[in-house]
Amino acid sequence: MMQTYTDLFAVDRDLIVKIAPVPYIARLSWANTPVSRVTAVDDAGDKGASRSLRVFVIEDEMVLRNLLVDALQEIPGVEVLFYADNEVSATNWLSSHDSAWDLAVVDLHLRQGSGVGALNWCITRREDQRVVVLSSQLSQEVRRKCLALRADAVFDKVSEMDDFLAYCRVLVGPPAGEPAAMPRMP
Amino acid sequence: MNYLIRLVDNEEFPEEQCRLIEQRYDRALIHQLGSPEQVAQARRAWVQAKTREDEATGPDLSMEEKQAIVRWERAEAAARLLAFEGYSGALEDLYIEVQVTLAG
Repeated sequence: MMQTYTDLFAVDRDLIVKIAPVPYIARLSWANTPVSRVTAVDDAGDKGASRSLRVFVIEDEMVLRNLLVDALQEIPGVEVLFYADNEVSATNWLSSHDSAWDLAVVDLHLRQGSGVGALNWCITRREDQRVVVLSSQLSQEVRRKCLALRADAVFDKVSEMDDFLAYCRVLVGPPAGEPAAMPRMP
Repeated sequence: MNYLIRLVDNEEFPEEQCRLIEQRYDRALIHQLGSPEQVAQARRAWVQAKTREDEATGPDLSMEEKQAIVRWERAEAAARLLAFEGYSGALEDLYIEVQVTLAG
């Protein structure tokens, strides 16, 4: 049966009391995120001279994650830094790489935990960092809740994937010499 | 060439949810494969290649036939995940039928 809005965000409330200190989490075997797509991470937040978009992906389905990463990496300037497939890995990585990323892409439906925990974690991010929810079962209520948790945009994985990729292209910026556009959501 | 998508052997979801799942599956297939026409072509190529594969006495599959199998199965796997994401229950028992028709 379909997860309800209450189910989804109830996980979030549980986390307030269940979240463990990072050193403890690091010892949990299932908290280890695969690292095959990791590239160099500069935690100082230095973006360098060239325009780039450093992306952190939270998606637990390998097939969908690979499709998403492939689609993102087709955009010039996009660099997928890391991915997490569960909530603890996601919040663990975010907590230790405050300034390393420019865009976090969050799936709300994870087998272990929920993307809402990562969304919560990103509330105190820098002004120039963006958080986008890319998920399924997005009722208007869920969309509103995500925006209330400071998501910059919310996209449906099936019907708004092209809009999401267009949003990312705008974040990367136009080729040199062309005026920049404002990112928009559907 | 056209195609029909239908969630079969379903006792889990009410009618309205079935239609939504079928729509999401269809949109995901189109996104993966390019267009409704390409969905129909990819499905038809997969059926033909699988039929040949099942003929034990036939010659080995050509590279194009192998590619047709991989292309459809990749797209189908992604579409199924996208269609059912957010639902729980015995989803592995559910089958989505894609029937290609030559008319229309």
